[in-house]
Amino acid sequence: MSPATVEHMTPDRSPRLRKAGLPADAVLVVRGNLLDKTVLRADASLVAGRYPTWELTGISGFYARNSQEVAVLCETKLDRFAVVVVFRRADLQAAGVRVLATYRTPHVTLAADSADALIRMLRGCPHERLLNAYHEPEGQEGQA
Amino acid sequence: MIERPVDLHVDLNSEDDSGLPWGLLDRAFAPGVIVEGNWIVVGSGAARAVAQVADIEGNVVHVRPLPGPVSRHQALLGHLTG
Repeated sequence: MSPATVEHMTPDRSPRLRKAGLPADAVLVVRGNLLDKTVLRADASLVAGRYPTWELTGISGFYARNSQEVAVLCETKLDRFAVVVVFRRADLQAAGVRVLATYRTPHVTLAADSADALIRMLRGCPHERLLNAYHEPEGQEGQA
Repeated sequence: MIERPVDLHVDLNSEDDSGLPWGLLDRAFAPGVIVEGNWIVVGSGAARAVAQVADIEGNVVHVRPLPGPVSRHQALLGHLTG
């Protein structure tokens, strides 16, 4: 390969892709929050705002290889979310969502051509909702 | 309890090469408090956290969220609420 051939995209124009890509056994993708349209659109708009010339629209998530790694994500990076959604990577890809290994492991960007397409594909993709046992609810809210 | 609005919209799933979640300065609901070192409320949807502004690089604001609910860290926000 020529040194002039660069496989990753320009960081300033798009999220940085990890050269190693995703491991083959990264079969799960986890994201905090429910698949609320308003939240998904707002979060996607942040990425679009940071990378206005990127041809894709994306939102953040994390890969996991098994339920133990999902639990670790819930305890560490996702403890602020009462609920997380877990997708199978193969289901996301079958739905048309691009699962990109971006920034630092285990971060991924779930991407599509447009926010509308991304939201539609995510909401239509099979997923599991998990209550996050590590989440601490706000104050006494929710109590009778 | 009235929920405090966020000062900065941050997807708490997000990270970049800093390893920190980030938001955009020009999207801040309270731009005046987005100063390095300040403690602010960040989040998206129902997920929110008290976070320290770690750095501001152009329009990108990196934040370091604290674990636990906003109410636990209310004292850190005192200088913003008077």
